[in-house]
Amino acid sequence: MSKSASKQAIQNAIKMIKGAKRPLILLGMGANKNNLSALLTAFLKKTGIYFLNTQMGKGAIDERSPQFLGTAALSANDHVHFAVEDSDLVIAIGHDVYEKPPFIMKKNGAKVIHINYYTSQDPKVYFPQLEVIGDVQTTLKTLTKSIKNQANWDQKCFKTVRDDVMQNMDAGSKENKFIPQRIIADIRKVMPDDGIITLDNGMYKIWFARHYRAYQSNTILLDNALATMGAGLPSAIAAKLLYPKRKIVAICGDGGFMMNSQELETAVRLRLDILVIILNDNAFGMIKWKQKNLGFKDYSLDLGNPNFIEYARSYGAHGCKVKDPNELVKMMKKCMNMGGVHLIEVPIDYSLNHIVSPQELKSNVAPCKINQ
Amino acid sequence: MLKASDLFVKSLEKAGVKYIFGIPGEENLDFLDSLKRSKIKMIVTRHEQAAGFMAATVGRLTGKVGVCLSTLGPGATNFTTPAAYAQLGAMPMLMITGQKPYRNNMQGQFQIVDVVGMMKPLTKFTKKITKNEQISEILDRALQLAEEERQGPTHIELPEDIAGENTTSKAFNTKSSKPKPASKQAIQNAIKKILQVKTQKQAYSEQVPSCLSLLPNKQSKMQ
Repeated sequence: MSKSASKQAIQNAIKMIKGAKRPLILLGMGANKNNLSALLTAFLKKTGIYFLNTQMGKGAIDERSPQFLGTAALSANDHVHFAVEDSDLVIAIGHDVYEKPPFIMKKNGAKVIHINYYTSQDPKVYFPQLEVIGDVQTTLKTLTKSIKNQANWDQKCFKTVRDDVMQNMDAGSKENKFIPQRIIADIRKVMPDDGIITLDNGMYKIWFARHYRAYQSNTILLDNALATMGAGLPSAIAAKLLYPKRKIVAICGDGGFMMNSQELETAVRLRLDILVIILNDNAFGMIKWKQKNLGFKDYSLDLGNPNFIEYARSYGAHGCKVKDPNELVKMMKKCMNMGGVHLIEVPIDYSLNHIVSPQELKSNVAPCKINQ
Repeated sequence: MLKASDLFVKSLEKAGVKYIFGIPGEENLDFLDSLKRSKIKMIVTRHEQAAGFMAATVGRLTGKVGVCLSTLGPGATNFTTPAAYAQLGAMPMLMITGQKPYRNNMQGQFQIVDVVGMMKPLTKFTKKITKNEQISEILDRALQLAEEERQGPTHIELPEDIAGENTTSKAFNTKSSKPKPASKQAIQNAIKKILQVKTQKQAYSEQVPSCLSLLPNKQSKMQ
């Protein structure tokens, strides 16, 4: 059991939050631990404060909440960052500097209160003005009891940012192409509220973090700390062993999948019901994209692949390839209802990656006047 | 008498471990044999890295330590990426790796890598067991540190000769609140004492007539 944070630190936090003009909540990876979901939701509802999350903080509060501002999948210039720039106080709960920075702290920017079981600091990107270290459950209970929506808070800009983010989140979700937005919307449609998707690493992870709405804690397992490749399928197997009744889908790139694809045999041997979706671009796509962004010539990042359908079948799993974007929902449902180990190959279209490229992000226009 | 690997596995059982992921090698055979007789399920994978990711994910989702097992050298080096995964992602995990005999190794330096040293920058705690009497204490520490905030990975190296030894140590675990059973000797002594009291009481009752016998019986009352 962790000790409670000091009363003084909690009192200071209450004072700072009440006195702020435009407070925001940031949920980091720790928000998905220690059963914090209900307490976080209560705090959010009582105060009416808007929130954003890190990639690993997704789902700790239901992202269908009207106070959700989006996920900081990148460190700067994405739509959600306009909210951070407008804010004068970020209440960071469970953030840890091992996560890719959800935003870069500025000396004259928003102040930060760090709430977690342990300290976490970095002199260049994250140097909170106040730390509330100790049992987060206790801290949250006290904050919720002591703080209600304040008359001096101005949340107009956040509402505008939210509308902007939501519009972007759903853009492209109905297009008849294998673009990430459409694939993500379809997967979300099929997944039950408590269904878990486990991601590997790659270009598509940024898209999932930005566009997949998580409804419950730990329902999107991704690694944005070591950010290793190869963990997608193994973490799906572990999740299925722990929660045999829940739907588990591993979503991998062709690169990450091939790093531990031998575990298909483990899944088949254990007779698990698991679906693996491979978003295939026949390349180490994210590095290829970065190579292009930095003006390097296209070199050495294209891959050949096995015939994934035959590969899956050779393990005793089922395999199929989606040929039309409209087939994915149907196929997913069929595989998940049938049980057993399934693999669906989706030829992903990364032609819209420029949307999340640093150059293009910089040209995003603030949807409301920055108050600072 | 208990085998050291039995003691190790019993302690893991007591700590609530349900799965161990990994690939056993010949240095883990005693451990594997103990697992066979336990409630813990061994999940054999096809690569230690995948086993480590699975154990870390168990830790991530439950808040309790996830456990993985590998042999020495090549198996253990394959744990480095999941160790970093659990460390940076703050996931409670225990890695158990085998090693050549601690005392009488007749294979020179074959397959020997300084695994404890290798794990130092990747874990919160890494330790080689050199005496079977240390098992409970080291394991308890490894479990506790993995689960304590900030959570993360720990590592124990169990050499094959230690694993196969008999031990007089008991499986204990400060994390489990269940008190240890009393020693058999103490219980036997207690039984003896109780029986002695009983015989004394019997002897006493034989000498002194009971109160009941002094009362008039029902029949005589009716008369």
